[in-house]
Amino acid sequence: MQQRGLVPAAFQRAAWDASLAGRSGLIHAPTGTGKTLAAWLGPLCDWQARHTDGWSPPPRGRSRRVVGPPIEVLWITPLRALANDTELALRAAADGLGLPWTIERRTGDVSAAIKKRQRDRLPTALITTPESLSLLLSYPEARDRFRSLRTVIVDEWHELLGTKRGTQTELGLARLRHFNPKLRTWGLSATLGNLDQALLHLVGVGPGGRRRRGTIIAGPTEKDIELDILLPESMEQFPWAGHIGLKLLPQVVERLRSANSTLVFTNTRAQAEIWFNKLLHAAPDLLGQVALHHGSLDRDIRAQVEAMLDAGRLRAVVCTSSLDLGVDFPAVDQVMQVGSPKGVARLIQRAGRSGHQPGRPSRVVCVASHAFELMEFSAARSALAERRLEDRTPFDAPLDVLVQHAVTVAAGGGFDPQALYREVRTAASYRTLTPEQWRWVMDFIERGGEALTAYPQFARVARDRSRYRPSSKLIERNHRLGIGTIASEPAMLVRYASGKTLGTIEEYFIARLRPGDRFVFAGRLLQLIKVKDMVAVVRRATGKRGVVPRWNGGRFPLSTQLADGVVARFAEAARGELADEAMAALVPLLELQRHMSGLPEPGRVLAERVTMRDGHHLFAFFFQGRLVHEGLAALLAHRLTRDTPRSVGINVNDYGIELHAPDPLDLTPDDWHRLLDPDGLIDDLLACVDATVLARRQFREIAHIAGLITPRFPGARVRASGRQLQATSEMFFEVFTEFDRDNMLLHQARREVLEKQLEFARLRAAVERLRATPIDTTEPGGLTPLAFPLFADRLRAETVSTEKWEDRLRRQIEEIERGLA
Amino acid sequence: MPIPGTIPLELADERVLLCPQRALWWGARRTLVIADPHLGKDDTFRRSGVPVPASVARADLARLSSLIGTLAARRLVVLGDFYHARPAAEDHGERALRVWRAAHPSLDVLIIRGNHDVHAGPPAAELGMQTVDEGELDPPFVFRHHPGADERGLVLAGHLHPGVTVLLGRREGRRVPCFHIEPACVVLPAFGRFTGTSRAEVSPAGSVYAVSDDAVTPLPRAVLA
Repeated sequence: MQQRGLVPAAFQRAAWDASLAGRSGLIHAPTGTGKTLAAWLGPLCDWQARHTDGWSPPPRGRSRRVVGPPIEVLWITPLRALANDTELALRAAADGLGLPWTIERRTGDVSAAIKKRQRDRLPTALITTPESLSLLLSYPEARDRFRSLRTVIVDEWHELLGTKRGTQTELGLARLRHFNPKLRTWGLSATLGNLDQALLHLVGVGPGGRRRRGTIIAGPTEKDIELDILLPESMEQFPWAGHIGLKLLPQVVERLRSANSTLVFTNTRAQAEIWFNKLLHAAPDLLGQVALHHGSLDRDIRAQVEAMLDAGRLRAVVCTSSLDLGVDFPAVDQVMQVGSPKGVARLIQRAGRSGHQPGRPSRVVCVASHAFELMEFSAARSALAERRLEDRTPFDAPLDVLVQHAVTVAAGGGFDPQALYREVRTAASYRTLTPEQWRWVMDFIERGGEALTAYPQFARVARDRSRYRPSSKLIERNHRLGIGTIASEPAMLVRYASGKTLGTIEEYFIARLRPGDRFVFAGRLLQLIKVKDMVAVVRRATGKRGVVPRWNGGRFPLSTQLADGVVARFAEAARGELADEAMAALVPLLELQRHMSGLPEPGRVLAERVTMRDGHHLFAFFFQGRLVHEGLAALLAHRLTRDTPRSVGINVNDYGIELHAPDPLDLTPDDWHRLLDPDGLIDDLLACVDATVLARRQFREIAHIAGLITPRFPGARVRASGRQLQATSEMFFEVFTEFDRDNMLLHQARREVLEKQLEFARLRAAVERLRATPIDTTEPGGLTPLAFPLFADRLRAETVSTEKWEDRLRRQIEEIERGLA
Repeated sequence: MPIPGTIPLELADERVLLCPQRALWWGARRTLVIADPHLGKDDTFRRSGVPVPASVARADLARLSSLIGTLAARRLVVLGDFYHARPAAEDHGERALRVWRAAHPSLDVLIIRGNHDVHAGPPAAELGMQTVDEGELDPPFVFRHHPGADERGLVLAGHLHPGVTVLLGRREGRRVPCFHIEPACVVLPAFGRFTGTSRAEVSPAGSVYAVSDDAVTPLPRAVLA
């Protein structure tokens, strides 16, 4: 570095020293501060110190290829797209030091020739993804190949941490540590709320659950992020509720014109589609300079947009979290957040996507879609300043990933079950894996299920002398194909008659359309021609309007940090303190809320009782985020209807819940106390939310990871044997439910629904806390500003139902027939 | 004895029953018609290292037995894809089939050859089941595997595993197997439970009947779209 005239920062020195001393650790710092070098120079210096006399390559064979020292460093990146840039950066540093290292990538898009060469000999530093690491571990030569490996560096660890790819990485690391107990593990991460946990899951645990040592090294703190909150010209016209909120469109267009290139982040794919269309409508001259980017668009289309963005040829891209990560686009000089920020860490991540000059703060233009989002942005401003960041919670012992890993290890030289059990438990996600769970995993891959269930002639692995290996070459090959192909189903392809694919859309949306109907997708107005074999064939349509599809999933709740921040803003406002211009703009609304009912206060719950023509409504503002509210509302409705037979409808948003019923909902403190009983919480919850529907959806991913679905590649020739193995996760869900009820993958699906979709931990904590919280019930005589969004959202509410689908269908048919009569 | 959840229909002036067990009952001929049982599919999966419980096949055959018993059927017509793949004698499904056959020794079984049967071959001769090419006429019906029209009569067919997505609430759809009835051709749902469905393309003159565990339900168009 000195050679390039740069002085290393203190945190970089700290990281090099720790690495040279053989320690592991986690470096957290914002992007663009030199994290990469902090992690990379340690291993380089280490090698240099061991080779003071230089290094001479082994005698060359027939091959004329440059041979470097054997593998020293494995660099794991979550995103294939990042691998190329990483390779260049690592090579520049190694060359700068004059080291003879070879540096190569091994990802899905590397040529077969290079992969084959890497099978004989790995480069000195290998850049790869979690899936490709698993694949490497699935060859019997893995142990030999990694013999000289001394350091693993996991880039963007925060991105992997809360995902099953993160769990997969943990298991891979446990394997590598088994090969070399002295292996150093370093992680690079953005700043998180739970850095200790992030470190634990990175370095793993020692035998017997002992915590392994690791160092947390903090880089320079984030550059200041300024939130530039757009304010409506008149608050009277600004909506109290709504999820599109286009009132600020003219200001947004103005901002787009004033910057070189802007990323416009939205929270959902549907929002992105709508904003894209409205932007072009408002500023038709921007046609061709504005693009759309989200996860359901075809990969080619997305790549095209990214290339144009990189070349600086786009004024703006309307996107979703699909552009949260990835290579930097130097041309981008402005970031916008449309709609609720949802979480502080997310906002920081997005702010970091604009290239900014050193020393200048990065700036996010905040576009509220309704009044209270102004308050969320204002709360985010404080949370940012105080660095109140959210956690990323790792998965807890997911068995699907473990099933896959066990077969990987079986293929990679075989295993002894006891030894592998011990090894797996050194991955922090599996440190509490019970012998019963492990036995089930072994049963599942050896016999298909527990000994008593009938899976004759099944064996994915079989004992070969003392070790378990795949029971056939075919199984081994299918397993390798399956690693890393987590396709979602049943998504429907949207394709022009000419053959060009636009992307995917959920089947239930297409099911509503008839040929000839128009809808908006990929930023275009399309007309459905026909549906055939999971392909919706479309043509361009003219006209103004079309339905916008909605996709399931991907709806983030307001984080605890932000929800608490919003309550704090209410409390400040009650004391007459206005934090910023956004809060000042809200004064008339807050006054109205106070006048009609009251303002929420920390440590108390505000509830409002309103009687309207359609019945009795009870609103309660818990400020726990929409997922917790979904569980909470369903639980309250379930317990209310169980006590006294009646029907109670529910509705939720990020701030609170609404219960409505034909008869009065007068809840005394005793009633609340009884309703918020943590006893029997799980059972009641599973009984009341339509857990089966959610679990069925969750099971899709599990079925793929656990290898139930034979991978198919689009365009690939299907062998006759492959055709005989076609099945959907839905079919497995049904036969397991009917014939193997104790299948642990089903339990896992239910558990994931609880943990990830209903945020059970947060829900349970909320129930326990709320039980002891005083509830102030007011009778405002009408809908208050806080209640109105809930009420207005009612048409979009998801149904929470305990009925069987047959009964729901029957009821629906009756309604339709009544409508026709 | 009536079966709960069935729907009586007139097809080509013949009275038939659509049964939730995924079968069609032609009372006048005491004939039970099913399509696509895909016997042995679970065996094929297990042999390839994918765990599918063998109880699937046993339950399919038990359901068939129970229908035959309740309706006092004299003849069973299988509209193709009787087998999923060529069975081995030691296969669980094959042994279950022998046990099943022994329980219904006098039942006439007619199998219309489907695309899977071409590879799998006919059942063992000692099972006493007759296999014929598609197009078998039994007025007013023509038994086929692949759906199509036939001027000699109304076609009863399988092959497609028809299913429809029914809308439940605003954001949820669910794919269920169905009987798909068009003026020239009736497509039966796949009898095998582990078979999956494909989306039925219903013409303006067509209609569908959804199949659930306990009932057949006629579906108005509005539920479909």
